[in-house]
Amino acid sequence: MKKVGLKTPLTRGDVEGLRCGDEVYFTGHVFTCRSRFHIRAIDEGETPPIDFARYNVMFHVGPIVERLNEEWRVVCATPTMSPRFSKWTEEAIRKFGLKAIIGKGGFPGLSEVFKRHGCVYLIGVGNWAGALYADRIKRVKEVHWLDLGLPEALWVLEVENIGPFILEIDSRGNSLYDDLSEEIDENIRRVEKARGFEGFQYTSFD
Amino acid sequence: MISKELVSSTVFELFKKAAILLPDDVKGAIREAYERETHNLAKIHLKGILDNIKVSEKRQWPLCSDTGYPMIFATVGEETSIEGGVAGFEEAVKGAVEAATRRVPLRPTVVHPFTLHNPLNNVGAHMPSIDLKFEPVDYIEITAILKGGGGEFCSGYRTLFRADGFLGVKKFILDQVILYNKRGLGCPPNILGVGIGGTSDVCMKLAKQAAVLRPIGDRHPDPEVASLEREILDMLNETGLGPMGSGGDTTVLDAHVEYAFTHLAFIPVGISVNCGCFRRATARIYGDGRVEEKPYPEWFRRGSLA
Repeated sequence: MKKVGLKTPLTRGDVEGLRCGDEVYFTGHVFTCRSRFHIRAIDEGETPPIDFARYNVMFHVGPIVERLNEEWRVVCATPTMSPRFSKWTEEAIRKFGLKAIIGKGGFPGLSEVFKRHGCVYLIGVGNWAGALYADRIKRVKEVHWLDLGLPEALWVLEVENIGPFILEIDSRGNSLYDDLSEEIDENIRRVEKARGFEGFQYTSFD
Repeated sequence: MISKELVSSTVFELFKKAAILLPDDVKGAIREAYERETHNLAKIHLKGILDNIKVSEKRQWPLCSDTGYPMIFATVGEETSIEGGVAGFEEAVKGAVEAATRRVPLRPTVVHPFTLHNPLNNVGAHMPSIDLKFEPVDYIEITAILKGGGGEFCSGYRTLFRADGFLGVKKFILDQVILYNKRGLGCPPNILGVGIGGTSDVCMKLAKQAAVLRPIGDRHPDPEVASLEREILDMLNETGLGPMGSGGDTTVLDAHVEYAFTHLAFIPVGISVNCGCFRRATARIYGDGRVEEKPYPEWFRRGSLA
């Protein structure tokens, strides 16, 4: 596990050097999205009006923004639950050439997708470091699709050393959560045994 | 008579405080969890939270961008009069939520469930939620809660039979907490509220109130319930799920249980989870207009810790 600072747009070499558990910081740009972005961009096929060659880090987040003298400012940005975007994720990585996705909660069953397309997945620390992250957002570079509402709009953010994010799925398809699950399942079996749950069955009424 | 304006300005300040400043009991529990933690990755997660708390305090920015569901719980003195009565109180609360959304700012998170229409002010049908109870006191004690979606996602209900017993209750709690905290979906370490008994709606309501209205470290005055709380807390932390499900010593910061008498055939169990980012602020308004901030609500048991 190492600390890594990366400049965006990310290159193939940048992501190939990352391993599960690395602490990663980004300088450059990230763009935000939630469900309604995916519905419009994937299901409805409307091309998002941003240059994905420059912006290849997707951030699952509904930021809190405020308007200060004609300028937008992000005051909080906590990653949101990623698995609910699973059905669109491979298409989003392929179509927009994403190299990294930042989110929350892992992508159960999707590690192969990340491997196939040479993309990585990262999670936020504690999952409520939104003010800490906002402090590293220098300015709002672009905003589109505001008709989806402030949290669901497509925000392109200029960031300086935003992080730490923890590398959860690397470009070889390894997952930190998958690696941990055996140990945790073993703990749970131990807890169940110690508490007398082994063989317990709820009363059947079906 | 307490004016609507005083209610509104007080509730605004409570939502602002809840969004930005973590209550002392919660901050202390997170700091202790950080100091106790033996897993590297878990320590990084908890350190991130502690750093975040500092930035929020310094910049007066919300702690988490999911400012969630705005909720109000108020204990109202039976003879305390409010301008416009209960309807006036509700109107003042709605005005305060609208103002807080604009000026704190909170995220406009509340939408129509069918159309996704976003009124951009966190106000709509049954939202903010307002729970009132009436007691022989000479004040209104108002608690503002911002209930994040991560914790709310973990909610669960099951009607158990007597034959399932409390073994079944504990098994249901364990399964539910693991399912929703794996991969960190419920933002662990979080706070577990359990409601036992009553009808399904009553036990869900008790679970929610147990999760959001009792300070961390508080134990139920009934020794049997207190012992169940400790047992649940230990059981869940022994899973080693840890902060954000990344493996660690603290999965839940506390477990609170409340009960209601129930049908002799069943053991209804409700589960509600509050984010570790426990956004709560409480104040009392007295009849003479005096406003007193309180460190935590006294919702369940007046005169005791909670």
